[in-house]
Amino acid sequence: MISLLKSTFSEAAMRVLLVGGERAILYLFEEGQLAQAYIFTADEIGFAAFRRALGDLAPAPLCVLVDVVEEEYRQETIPHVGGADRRAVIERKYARLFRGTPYRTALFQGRETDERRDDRLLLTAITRPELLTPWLEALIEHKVPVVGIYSLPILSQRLLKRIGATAPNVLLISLHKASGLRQTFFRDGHIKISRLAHMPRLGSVPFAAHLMGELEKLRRYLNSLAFVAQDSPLNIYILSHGELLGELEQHCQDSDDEKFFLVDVDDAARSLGLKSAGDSHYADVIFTRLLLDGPPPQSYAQAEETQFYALHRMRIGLSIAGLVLLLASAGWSGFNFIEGVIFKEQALDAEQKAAFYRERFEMARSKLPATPVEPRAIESAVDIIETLHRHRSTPAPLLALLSQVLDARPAIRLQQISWRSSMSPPEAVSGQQPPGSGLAPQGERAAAPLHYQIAELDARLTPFDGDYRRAIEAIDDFTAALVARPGVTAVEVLQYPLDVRSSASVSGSTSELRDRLNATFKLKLTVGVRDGSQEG
Amino acid sequence: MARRKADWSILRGTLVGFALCVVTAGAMLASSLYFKQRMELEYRGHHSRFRDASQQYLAVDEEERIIDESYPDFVRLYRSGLIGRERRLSWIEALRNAGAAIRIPDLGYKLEPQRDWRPDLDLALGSYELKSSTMHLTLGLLHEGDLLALLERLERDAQGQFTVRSCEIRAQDGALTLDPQAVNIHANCALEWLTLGLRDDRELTL
Repeated sequence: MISLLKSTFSEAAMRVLLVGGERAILYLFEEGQLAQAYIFTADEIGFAAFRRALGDLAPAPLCVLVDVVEEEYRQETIPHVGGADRRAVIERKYARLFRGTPYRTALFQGRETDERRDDRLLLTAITRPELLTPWLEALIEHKVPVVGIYSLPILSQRLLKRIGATAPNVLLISLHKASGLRQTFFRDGHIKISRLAHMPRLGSVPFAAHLMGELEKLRRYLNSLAFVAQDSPLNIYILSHGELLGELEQHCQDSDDEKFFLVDVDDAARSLGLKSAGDSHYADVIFTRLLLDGPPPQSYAQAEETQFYALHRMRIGLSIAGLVLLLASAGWSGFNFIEGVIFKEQALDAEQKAAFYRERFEMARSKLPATPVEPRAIESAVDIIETLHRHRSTPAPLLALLSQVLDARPAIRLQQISWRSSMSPPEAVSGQQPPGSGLAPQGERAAAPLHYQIAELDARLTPFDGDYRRAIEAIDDFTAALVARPGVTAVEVLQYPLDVRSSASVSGSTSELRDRLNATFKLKLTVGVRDGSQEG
Repeated sequence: MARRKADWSILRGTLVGFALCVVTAGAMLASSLYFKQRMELEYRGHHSRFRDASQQYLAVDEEERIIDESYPDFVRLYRSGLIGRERRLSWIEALRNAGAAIRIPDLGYKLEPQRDWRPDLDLALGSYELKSSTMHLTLGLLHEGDLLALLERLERDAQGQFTVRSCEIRAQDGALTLDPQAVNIHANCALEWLTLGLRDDRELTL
């Protein structure tokens, strides 16, 4: 049977496709409430109608919820490993247990209590993927963003807390329009086994009696697997509505091993925020609504089936990023603009103030006498000339000093003076060092001179009788007298009349005539000058 | 189910929208930054002019003090040839007059072209530049005292300031002669005549 209505579905709406073995139902939710439901039979007519429906609807995220007989459950344990090793172990399990189907998943259900403490897993799979293929192909063809493919029994685990089913042994029984009678057993909140039984058309058989018969079959199966904890009764929760609930009440008798809890589908729907379950004893809408609270991590979907959902999320991400970028830019730009306006106002203010001060300055300046240069340059020029005057040099101080020393030593005659001025003291020249020569005492050199006057003197002793010892003594006395003068910073004998150093060669004759004997010598005199005059 | 390639066409519109957002955001940001920077630049310019003007105004009193204290010295230095144009004629006249007064038997001079002079000492010249003209003196003297007297007279009479760079003094061979026109000593000296002027050859006149 096909029921297809004109779509008023909004882009923000959420959708769930509940796939059963014989039919599929497309649920459309708007703002958390069921808006429309379309039923499609699992045949060519139904698939074609489904395609048409998808063509009419605007693309929106859709969850596929599977409730088929061909879903298998296997309890397995694997070593407690993580990462790639865990994936490899699980893949091996899949290959062994569910060969030939890509739709398989695993639920972690705690750890073993023995020494190895292996991980307990529930491995599940849709063993006939061709049941899903026509629906999924239609979804991909219409580029529907498929969020994932989920198992209704696994999803039903979420319902337990909502209906207060927290006992160790829970059996949840619900009636589904898309599939039939679903019975799922939970141990300590973990799904262990689920069974889907065919449900005859309502009214064709006594509902309660049929349900109790199916329950008895499952009960025997559970006992054979020893899933039920012995120290606790089996709590059986049956979701139904209306007259069927009354019928069930008569058949469900509590015992030590079994306790019955009859849950009205409408009450359960309201606990999930739905206004109503549509006055139906079918619980499909409850499970679809559970899915909308957030899809579980276990999904049968392959990457190809969710590609449009990935693109859809990317589209939303890009849209949000673009909007954020635009808003951030607008905010920042606004801030920059305000700052710019503030700068402009400050600039106008500064311009007015500058004009004010310029006017005042011109008025004050007009009262001062005209000068060829700025007043500060006048002061600067005077300072420069004064500095140059202090640093001017003339040979007068050095010549005066020499004159004073030579007055007491008439035997010394100057032949030549090479005088120069320098800002830095001359470097020492290696020569013969008499006792009196060398640097002046430290106290004399304490205050640094402004500049130095350096003179190289060529002189001779006259008369000279050939007594070199006395001549050298006279020269040493001369240099000692110079060193003692204030302002003299260094005196260095460059050459004696006779070079008596061990490294020098000396020649002469004792028969040389006295009047041809010559006692010439050279020395270097350095005088420090401070403030335009001789130092000291 | 055959594998299909990912259909990126779904994103085309979103990508175009995102690109438009990026371009619009960039344009808004760039234009607002440009506007802000231009205004800031304008503000800084005006603020700088305001600061200069206010400082100038506040410095008027100081300028008045400088003019009172230093301008007479400046005028004196200008008139004595230390500031402004060099006074070569004055130097030569002073040299000749000094030589005649001291009766120096032999006096020769050579004045080199003026050049920029960089003193060894640390001198902040500001808007000025220092120039020097080297004068080489060749002297035949009766005694060394005449050299000192000559330098003293030059300093006193010439319009300008000089500093002696070097002097070579050599005694004449043979016995001293007491004749006033006799040459007992030869001297070669180098003098630097210094002048302070404005930079870039700007004329400085009172």
